Amino acid sequence: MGGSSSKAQFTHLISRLLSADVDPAEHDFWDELWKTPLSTEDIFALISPDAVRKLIKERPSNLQTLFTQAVAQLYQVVETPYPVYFDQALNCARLLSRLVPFMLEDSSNEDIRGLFWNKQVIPKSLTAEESGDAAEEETQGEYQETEPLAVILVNSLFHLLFLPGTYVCACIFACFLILLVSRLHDRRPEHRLRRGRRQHACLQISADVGTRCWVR
Amino acid sequence: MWAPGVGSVEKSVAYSTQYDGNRVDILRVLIAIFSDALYQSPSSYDCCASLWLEVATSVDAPYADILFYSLINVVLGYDPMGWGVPYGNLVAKDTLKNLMETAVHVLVILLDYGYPLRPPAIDEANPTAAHPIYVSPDDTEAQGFNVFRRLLSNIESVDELNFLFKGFSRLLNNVHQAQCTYLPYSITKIDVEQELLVLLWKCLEDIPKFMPYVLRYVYFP
Repeated sequence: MGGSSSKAQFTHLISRLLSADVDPAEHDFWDELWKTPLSTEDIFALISPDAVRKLIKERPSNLQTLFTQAVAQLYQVVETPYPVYFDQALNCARLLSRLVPFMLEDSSNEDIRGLFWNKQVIPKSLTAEESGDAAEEETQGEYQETEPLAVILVNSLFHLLFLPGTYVCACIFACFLILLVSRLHDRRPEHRLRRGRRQHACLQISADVGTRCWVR
Repeated sequence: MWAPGVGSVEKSVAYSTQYDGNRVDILRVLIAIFSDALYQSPSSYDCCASLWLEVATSVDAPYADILFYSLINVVLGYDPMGWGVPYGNLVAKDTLKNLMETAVHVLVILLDYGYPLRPPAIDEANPTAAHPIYVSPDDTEAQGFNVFRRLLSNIESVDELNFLFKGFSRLLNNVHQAQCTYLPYSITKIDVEQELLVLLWKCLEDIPKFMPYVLRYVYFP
């Protein structure tokens, strides 16, 4: 993954991020950044720790856009798992694993703390470019939008680990569902006590899988 | 679920290794976002300080139970022997080892958050103020509540304890085996024995039935 041309392109994009503020609405630039296919090793080699620190210190607005867009894309993939976007989501994940440790380095940095933990609304333009029916998602998940980005990130990552088709075989997932249902009929009393909770979880997961199959 | 073992009654849950690379990538992001404890000094370390971990280990974290069982099964179900052929590790690329090592990191980080869950019986026996801080398993709103600790302490069937014990002994024995073999570097050597020891400690601490099981096994194998 990641030929020499895409590496050169990526280096160019990063140097632009470091040298000037890029408008979040400049979709061509950001699209190109997210769609350049690179492996984790490449990303770690191409973005030096000093570059990340420089980005944090000198271009906070770029950093903010970068982080917000990455989280928004991960969230979007969880909400509407089209296989086309999986590679892009993985790119986001790799980039985040490079950036975040440095963002946590200085705990007194109020900007970054605010970026992580302030409740905010994800601009519609970010999600709208991902898929046509984003407008529906917006109306459905209104309460999600006001959660801090950090919470969205953690939840999206947990979901991503079990997205059928990328991380789990669909058939294995189905097996697991059957298993969960069979556990509901457990005879042991200590398990019966928790039956309500399990039933709830089961229904929730089946509904999730149902919508995902339907989406595909 | 990624692998069979704890938490799955059926043995039919098969390994699915084709997505290992993707899983490792996502797990790495998780490690990255939980890394803020690195920037605290050891003396001021507070096991409940990380807001990230508080979100991740709260009771409404999605798929927490599947995640926990997947991680622990991937770690303890890992077999360093591979094909059983000397130098087989140099011929075949072992993606599962990579996943196992990342998984054990995430698992230890997740289990480290919060306070231990103590059964109320011990609490009544020691009503003095000196006992360590703990959280009741039902008090999901309390500070230091960790859903993963609760899942860990729910492991109780003999099969599951056996799986844990066999996994720990196989993996920890691997360090010794890999060093003492006649053919240097012929056996895959796992590099995470320290994390495994931490995990073993967590299991002994949080699973009430694990310690008696291990002691009984050692005396009457």
